[in-house]
Formats: sequence, structure tokens, C-alpha cells
Amino acid sequence: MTPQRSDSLDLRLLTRFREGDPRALETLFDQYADRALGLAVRLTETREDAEEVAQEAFIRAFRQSRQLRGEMASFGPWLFAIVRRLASDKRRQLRLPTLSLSSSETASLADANAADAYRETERRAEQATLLAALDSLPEEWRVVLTLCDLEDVPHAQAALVLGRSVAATKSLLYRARRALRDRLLEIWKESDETP
Amino acid sequence: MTHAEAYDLLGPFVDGDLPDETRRRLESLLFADRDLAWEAQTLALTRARLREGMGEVVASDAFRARALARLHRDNPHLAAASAAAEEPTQYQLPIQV
Repeated sequence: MTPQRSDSLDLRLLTRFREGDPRALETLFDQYADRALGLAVRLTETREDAEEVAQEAFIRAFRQSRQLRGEMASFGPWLFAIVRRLASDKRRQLRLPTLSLSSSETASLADANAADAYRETERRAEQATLLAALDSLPEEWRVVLTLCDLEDVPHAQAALVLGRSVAATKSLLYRARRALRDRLLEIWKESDETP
Repeated sequence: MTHAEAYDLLGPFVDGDLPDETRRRLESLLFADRDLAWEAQTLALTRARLREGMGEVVASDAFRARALARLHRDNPHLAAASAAAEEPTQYQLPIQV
């Protein structure tokens, strides 16, 4: 679906939500739940924090849509911007770095059989490396990489979340990819040098 | 196309955003310039690694149920509208005398 068609569908759903149609709320929630949670997961420390942030972002987005009526041009960027702000507040409260593999995830490795466990260990090591590299980047770079490269949010919508032009957002995305690549190379080099 | 111009086009190139003619000119430069080719290839690999390696985040059924219940509580106008819609239909039909 093109961004324009998606925006137009969102606006129709928001109108129906304001008029009292519960299915409109549920459809919008279903449409954005994974992506909002995905962004929250990349920007907070634990899955619990991410779910709390995503849920609160939906609550605020729907409240604001009732209050602002015609002023909300599209739902997604609005919601993602709230997720970003809430995640930032949450991190400030906790004063912790973002993301690590949870102990429950690590523990579940023991349950798999040996071959599966080996592949799973490799996959998680790769994921941990990516997370470490992503986590070392400035917040704005993590946001643009998460939205554009992980959640497939169109550049125009990511631009609204970031408060930048589309061209500036693309430029930021390319700088962020280069920085991520350089950080990954450093991490791999460090692990190669470790005896 | 200068090296600096080509370097600036690598981002759109990796995303498949370049017009055909510009893409062809850039590709011919990539064959001739190893540094530029390394840059393009590693950027494409980084993007692919990120997409494949991070795993998709899927909202659990428990999260969906919890969040939707909270959203319904926070939007009482939805319950009022639903209740109104469920009123007996005979009150809404035109009565033929």
C-alpha cells in the first residue's frame, strides 16, 4: 500500500473511531501494533518496558486524535513519534543502555537439541552483535534505521516522526547505515583480536 | 560523474531509488573503482544483515488483548455508540400504518 493510500485509510478509520466505531480502533491497532512495538523494543531495555511504552503510545495517540480531530494528518507517524518520546523518557528514568538478550531467552537455548542449539547460538550471537552496534549509535540514527530498515516505514512517514524533510531523512538513513557498518566492523575486528 | 557524486548516490542505489540511467552510470563506475564497490557492497550487506539478523518483533496475543482492553476503557464513547447500535431495530424502522 502506498503511503498516500495508507494515510487516507487511516484518516477514514480515525473519523469512524471518533464517531464511536470500535472496529476502527481495533483495525488501527492491528495495523500498527507490530511496528510500534518493534520501535519500542529497539529503544528500550526490556520487552516489558517496550510493551508499556507501546500501549501508552496508543492510548495517547487515540486521545489526541479525539481532541485534535482534523489536525492529525496520519496516524502512523504520530504514533511512532509518541513511542520515540516515551521510550526516551523511560530510558532517562532508568538511566540504562538499550536492549540486551533477556535471561529467559538465553535459558530457552538449553531446551533445544544440540544442532538446533548451535544454530540458535550463532543466530543469537549475530543478533547480539547487531544490537550492540545499533545501541552504540545516537538515538536519532537508531530511530531512522529501525523505522526504515526494520519496520519498512516509508521515508515520508519516517520524516514526519523525525521532524525532518524526506531528503534529510534519507541522508540521515545513509549516514546511520555507514555508522552501523563501521561499528560492526570494529566489533568483528575486536572479537578477531581476542585470544 | 565524479567520485564524490557517486559516493553520495550509493544510499539511493542500495535502496533501488535511482533512475535507470543514473543507476547504469553508477554501476559502470562501480566496476572500475574498487573502493566505491566496497562501499556499495558493505552498505547493502549491512542493510541485509539488519533486516535478517534482528528478527521481526511481533506483538503477542496477551499484549494485544491487554492493550485493546485498556484502549476500550479509555474510549467510553465506543461503548456508548455500540450500545446505541444494539437497540431493538423496530424503533428504527419506519412504521407503516
